[in-house]
Amino acid sequence: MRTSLASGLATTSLVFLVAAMALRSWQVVLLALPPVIILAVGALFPPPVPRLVAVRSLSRERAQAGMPVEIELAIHNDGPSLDLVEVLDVVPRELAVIGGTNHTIASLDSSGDLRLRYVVRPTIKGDFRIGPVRVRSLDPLGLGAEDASLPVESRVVIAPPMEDLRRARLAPRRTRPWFGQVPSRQIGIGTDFWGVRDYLPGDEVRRINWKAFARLDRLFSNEYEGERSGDVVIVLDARREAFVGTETDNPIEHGVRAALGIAENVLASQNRVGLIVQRDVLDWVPPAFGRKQLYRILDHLVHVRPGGDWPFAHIAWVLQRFFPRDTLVVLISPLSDRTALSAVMGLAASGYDVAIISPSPLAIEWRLGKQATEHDTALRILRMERETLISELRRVAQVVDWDPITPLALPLRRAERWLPPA
Amino acid sequence: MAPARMRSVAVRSAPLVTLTILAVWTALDVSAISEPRLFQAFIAFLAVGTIALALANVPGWGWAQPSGLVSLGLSYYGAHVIVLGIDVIAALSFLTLLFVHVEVRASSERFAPVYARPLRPAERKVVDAAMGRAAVRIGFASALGLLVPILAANLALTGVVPARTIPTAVLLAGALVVVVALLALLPIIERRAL
Repeated sequence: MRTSLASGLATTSLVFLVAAMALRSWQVVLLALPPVIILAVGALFPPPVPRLVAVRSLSRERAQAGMPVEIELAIHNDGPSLDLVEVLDVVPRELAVIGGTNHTIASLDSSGDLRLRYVVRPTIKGDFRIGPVRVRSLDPLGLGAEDASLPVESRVVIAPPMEDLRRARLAPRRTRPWFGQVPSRQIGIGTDFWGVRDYLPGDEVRRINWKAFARLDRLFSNEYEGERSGDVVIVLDARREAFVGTETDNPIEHGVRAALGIAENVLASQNRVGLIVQRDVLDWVPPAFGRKQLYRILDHLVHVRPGGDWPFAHIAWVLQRFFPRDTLVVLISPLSDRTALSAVMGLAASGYDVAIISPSPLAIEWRLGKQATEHDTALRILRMERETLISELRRVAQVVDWDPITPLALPLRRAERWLPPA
Repeated sequence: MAPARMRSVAVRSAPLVTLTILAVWTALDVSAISEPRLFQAFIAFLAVGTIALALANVPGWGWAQPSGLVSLGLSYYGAHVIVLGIDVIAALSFLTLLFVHVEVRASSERFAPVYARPLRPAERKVVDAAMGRAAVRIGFASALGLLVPILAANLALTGVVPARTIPTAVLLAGALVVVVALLALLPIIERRAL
């Protein structure tokens, strides 16, 4: 591939020749020579087509956002020697190169090797592909270049950071007939004392109330409150209108973080957890127990991107058809439209327990803005509107208004004070 | 890291140095013109050329470079052809420096982003070697571009080469055809050899 410089040199030479003829000047003829000589030198050493083989290795293929990943790219030259070769390992912009380099220029002999080592730090979660490797063989005089693309792709999955909710109590109020950790307000297998009844043959010896026997000379058995498990469905609002702020600081990213923390917490207390994500497509994971379910949910959350213009009420439709009515619905949404109110009311009317965690878009926008005095008035009005909506929602659901700059555990702990007892 | 950053700054500023030399050189020559109208015309060309070439260093303004080079060349060669007369060595040196400026700018665009990144010593060594190789090639081509025409003129003027005979004209024409054919065919020959 010839560059514009080669054409420029040829044109310059021609212009000087024409001028020399017009002026009949031998001095001007001489001026036509340097461009031709430079062209000739360039033509003697044209850049060959690069024939390279590249192998990329990653220190880890799964990492958490903010965790560095080391990448090594080994390149072997299977073709002729390259005077000047520019190599660029294409990295998605979400992976910031923090050490070493993914771009270099080198001279590479035939059968020569080149190694690029660099460290990337993912700024956000996602499923990223590194590659291809773009190679350009250059003429040092800039008169020509040959491009090649090496189709070497690597995949790195970046998980969102997890909210630490170990101390928060998140449990469904209604239980299902499986052993768990949620007090069921029914007699069963558990640890909390419920009452005493007459001993019946077949009762376990350890359940005999020896103090009552000593006092009344009759055998009594202790009864305990049964601990069961329930179902929780996390609904994440990732519609386009829920996106406010930057790529790393927006309600959807914070919502993903919260959803993962809640899923981990609820699964750890032996409940079933499901997930619905409202994005380009309506993505869902049916409720299930255990560690595998956490990974399933994580895999879905990794792919969450803002998109889609679904009406809020569509969620209610999906829930009513595919999830049982004794499920606790944890809705994670910035509540940017008032249609949330009617949808939540509809869910509550259908018998679902609804809890809402709302990453505040106002707090995010306020931090990003100039924070001028006139904006303060606007913020107060918007805050009043939001508070009105939240107070209306609190009539039918538990609502946690969350400024994402604080850990989610903090507003959840505050909210426990007004939560009705399970 | 500090030497690499300094190197990046040096590589970035190299085209500005060559541009400054060209502009000052042209300004000095143009200032020797005594006729005010011609002086004003050539100074205007020079100003346009210098501004355009300086702007070409700003990202997104690369398209200004060809017009800047043309304006600068016009002001220098126009002044010499019309008023001052052509000094062969100075004119060839100016032209070579103009090409060096273009080459240096192209190299600067290639190498400066690489030096701007945190390079390990081994990586920096590789890039240094590549830049050295490019600099040698540019120096070699520029030296040939300057010396060969001077030598040719010298040989013609001293009468070593009979400049006004039919065999010389035929030989010159033949050489020109060979050079053009080589220029056109070399890349194809090279590719077939691979």
